[in-house]
Amino acid sequence: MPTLHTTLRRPVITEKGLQVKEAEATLVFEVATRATKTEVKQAVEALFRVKVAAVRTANYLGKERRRGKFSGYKPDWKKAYVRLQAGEKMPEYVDTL
Amino acid sequence: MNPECTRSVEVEVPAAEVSSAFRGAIKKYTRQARIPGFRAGKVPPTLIRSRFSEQIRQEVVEQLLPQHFRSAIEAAGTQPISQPQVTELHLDEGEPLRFKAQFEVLPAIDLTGYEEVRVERERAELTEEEFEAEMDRVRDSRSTVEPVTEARELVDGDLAQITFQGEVTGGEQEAGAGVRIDEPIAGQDVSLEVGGKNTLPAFSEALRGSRPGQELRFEVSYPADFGEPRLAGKSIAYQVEVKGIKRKHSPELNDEFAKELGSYETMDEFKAKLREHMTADKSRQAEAATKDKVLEALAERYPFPVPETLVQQQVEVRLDRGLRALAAQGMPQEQMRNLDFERLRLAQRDQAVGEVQGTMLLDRIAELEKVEVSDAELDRELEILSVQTREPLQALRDRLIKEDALPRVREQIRREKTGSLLYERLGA
Repeated sequence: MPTLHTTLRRPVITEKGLQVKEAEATLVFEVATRATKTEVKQAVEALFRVKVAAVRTANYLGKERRRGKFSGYKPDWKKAYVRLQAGEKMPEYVDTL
Repeated sequence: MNPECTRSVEVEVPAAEVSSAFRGAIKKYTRQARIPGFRAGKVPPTLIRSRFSEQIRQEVVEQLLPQHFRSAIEAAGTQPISQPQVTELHLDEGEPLRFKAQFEVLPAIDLTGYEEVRVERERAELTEEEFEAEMDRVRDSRSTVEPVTEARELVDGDLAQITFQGEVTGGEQEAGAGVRIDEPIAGQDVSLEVGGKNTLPAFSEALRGSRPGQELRFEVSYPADFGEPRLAGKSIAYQVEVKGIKRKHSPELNDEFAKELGSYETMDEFKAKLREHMTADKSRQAEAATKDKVLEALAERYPFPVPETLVQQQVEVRLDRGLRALAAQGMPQEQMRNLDFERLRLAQRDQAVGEVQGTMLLDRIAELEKVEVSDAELDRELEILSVQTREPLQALRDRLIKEDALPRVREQIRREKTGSLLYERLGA
């Protein structure tokens, strides 16, 4: 059973992530790969007490990593762009991860 | 800190200046910060602020505090001699910066009428005994020890070579302060001067008249206050074998010997020179002692608070000197590290206070008397130093300039001059 915190893994704090936050009222998270848009929406609404307008998701395949002759993959992950409804106050990410 | 020498200032820095300092610090960190997800220099200020809040605060404090502290003390017209201790620091972005700083200052020393102080000069006269003792020492240092081959009885003045073994027979078994006899009392091929002043009379008596090869048994009771705690207050039965006799040959005090001692023609010449040296030494000591007495008298008559900072510095100087001396005597490093530094510091304290008092008095009097050190005097001192340290004059000078130590040398000369002045004026 996914909980709120297993659904939202962490905020994506990058130049792009902060840029869409300012320009499009959109929060960006790394979310559980199995999470659906609906789950993400519910999680964000519950945690940040805001209304979500739309969720877009993107799957990223883990990159290959080599260590000598051994090769493996970084885990796959899913990114979610969560657009808030117009007029919602933008919450701050907690930046102590 | 000595409360009597402590001053404090309260400083307030306007909010605008605080904000601009914050902006500057943030800008600096923006340029340096490498945060994943951002290109260098593109990290937004809000993120910088939260990531580096501690460093930024510190940067702002380091930038504003010394600068405003300096102008504050200038405005107050005081001269701190210690690092300020900052308390009640209030710093928030967009608000004025406030802090209190405590520091020590030199006390004002009022020496009104000090010229009237009189101190009796220490007399420096070379006594005949002192001279004779020195002559004996010189003679002793040149004497040779030679074995006596003829088999004769030991007489006073002989060096008896003995091998001995001792056994405790009486007295307290357990000596004071937990000293136990673990090692056996024994020695091989020890030289003892029969009838000499460093030899126990009991030994001298037993040895006198014996011959090489002879074995002696006798008992010695040591007094309770004997110098060697292992033996104090005990009776010990000794078994001693006399191995041989040696005799010390002291050179005759003739012109021949004088020539050996250096570039002297006659014994009388050497004696005259030695007497001269010793007299000069004595009067130097007396002068130094008198100067100390003058300063003591002044300190007593004009008591003033002594800043703790200077005392601590002096304690460190003394400690450093002491450790160097120990190192020169060959104390190993690890043993030094195990010394009880707290106790050593405490032990140095009283003397350090006295020394600081002395220099403070000298500085004050130098000021009153307008004692100046000319460049020529500085040059002369440097020349002496260069000879002492075996450093070429120019190299020494360059080094001192680089270390910014010339003012200290100058200060030192000034103190010496002032000391001599006091000696001349106040000595009676």
